[in-house]
Amino acid sequence: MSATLRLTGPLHDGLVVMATSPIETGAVLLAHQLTLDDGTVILFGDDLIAVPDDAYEIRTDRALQITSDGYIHALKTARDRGMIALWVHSHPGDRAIPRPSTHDRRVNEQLEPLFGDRTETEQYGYLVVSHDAGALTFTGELSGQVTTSITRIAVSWQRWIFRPAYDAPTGADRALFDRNIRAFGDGIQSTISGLTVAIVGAGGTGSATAEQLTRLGVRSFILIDPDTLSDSNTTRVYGSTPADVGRPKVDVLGDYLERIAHGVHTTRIQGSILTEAVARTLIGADVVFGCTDDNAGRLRLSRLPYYYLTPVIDCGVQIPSDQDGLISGVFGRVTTLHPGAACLACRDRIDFALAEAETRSAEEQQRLEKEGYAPALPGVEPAVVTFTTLVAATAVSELLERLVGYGDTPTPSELILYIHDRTLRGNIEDPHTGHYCDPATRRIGTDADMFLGLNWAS
Amino acid sequence: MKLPEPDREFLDRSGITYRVFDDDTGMLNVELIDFPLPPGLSASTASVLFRLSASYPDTPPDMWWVIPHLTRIGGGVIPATEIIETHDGRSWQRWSRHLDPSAWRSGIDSLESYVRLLRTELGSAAA
Repeated sequence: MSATLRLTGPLHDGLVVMATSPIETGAVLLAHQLTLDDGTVILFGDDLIAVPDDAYEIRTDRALQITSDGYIHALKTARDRGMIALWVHSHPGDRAIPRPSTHDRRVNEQLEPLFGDRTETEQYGYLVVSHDAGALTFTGELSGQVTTSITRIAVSWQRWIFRPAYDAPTGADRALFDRNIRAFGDGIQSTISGLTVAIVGAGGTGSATAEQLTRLGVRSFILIDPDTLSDSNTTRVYGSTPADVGRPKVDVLGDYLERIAHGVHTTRIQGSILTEAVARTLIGADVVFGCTDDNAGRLRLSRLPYYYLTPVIDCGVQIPSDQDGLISGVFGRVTTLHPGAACLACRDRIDFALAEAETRSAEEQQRLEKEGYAPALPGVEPAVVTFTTLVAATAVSELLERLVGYGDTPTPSELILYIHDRTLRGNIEDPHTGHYCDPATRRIGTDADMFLGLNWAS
Repeated sequence: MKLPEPDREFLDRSGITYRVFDDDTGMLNVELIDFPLPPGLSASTASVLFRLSASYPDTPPDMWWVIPHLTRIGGGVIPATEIIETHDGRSWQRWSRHLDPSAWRSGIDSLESYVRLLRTELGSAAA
């Protein structure tokens, strides 16, 4: 068992400010706690409440002592919001060691029952933070109802940071990834190798995305697709052969990825993210690639980053044709969804009428179509391997850019490929006020009653 | 299937009596009971049925249904209410009212917005 702490950019920045302060600093981090079916614990940071200045009795570069007024108010807030509380303090100094001292451990023993009791969660946690040239370093643990180490911090904002705990083993296969390491460095390669990536849609775009991620070093995948491979799929799906026709797409792709490299593990789900149980598996992913071509699925993917701090890279290819059936353009779209950026709905990237049509019973859809109250569902759309592969490569490159930060800032959150015009354009869209992607609406941890704030047909 | 909390809060706050029930089409049915109607219609209250898809509240409710079947007191047919449908084993008068897609703010609007539309449309029908 281990725990990951997911944070938004501002909360991470708050921890960095604490860690880089020349004197010891204390705060209480409020978080929602979720235990997945496999025992993995995820904490979703909600608020970092600093110890008020007048609550410090001793505060130097080597010591910290505060009165209970330094945290009591924060514990009440945590209780009111139904969250756990973690005691956070810094060890000042560049490359200071963020391990708890003997004194820190005595403090933790004293705080554990108090925090558990006052928050009414019977849960306690601590973080010790420091920095290495301005980059956050930390150790942390949970104790109480759930006892485990906090082994990783994941930050989803303009940049995506996946920081292992100070003592966590890291490092990638230097020989295998020599060329990648020359480009991005050891740290990024290690980050890539530690990711769990979900691919929604194991077709032309999804399979190309998954292959590139595997060759980059990703070793843990969640593959989701309801369909079996058809003859026409073999013209685009990487790893497929005529002998695979009729097999579940997730098995075709999973088998292929596991042949590409040692140590690849694929969780295969032959199902649709319109089903709650399937969609819930996405919570465990560090990054999700949306390679589905349905609007109803995108409606659900669009909410994930704002309720669970899981970034989503959604992509698609569109090949419109004129009345004579000739290609009139080739468009690709790669939209990066994360807290702080607009969702697919605010970007007007979802056809809501089609999303409705895709989830209606066949009988009702036929009746409404006949009455002229519903659009006809589109038939089989054109698809070409070169275009799906190009969009997949663009999407995977966006992941790299978010991890490495080699591009201009502010980072475009959407790329439109005018493939017929050999042009690529980026854009930035802010969340609409009051929408679920607006950080002010604070959606994290608010869907205990209805997953992602939606009803689910099954 | 459930009614989202903001909708439950709105209906409770507004004093609207309601019940929700599933059917075998994957829709969530919300019945407003004894919903007050404006003067000028053939009844003073009605049961009003909304049917919400799994994509709600990203997508709006589409149409509504009433019992009893309504007419204008002064005579004349209310437009787009001729179809009768059976839901929950009862015969409902369908009011085919469809929002302009841009009128529904996906992820923001709720039943409160839709009840506002309902009241406006009922008022127009009664006038």
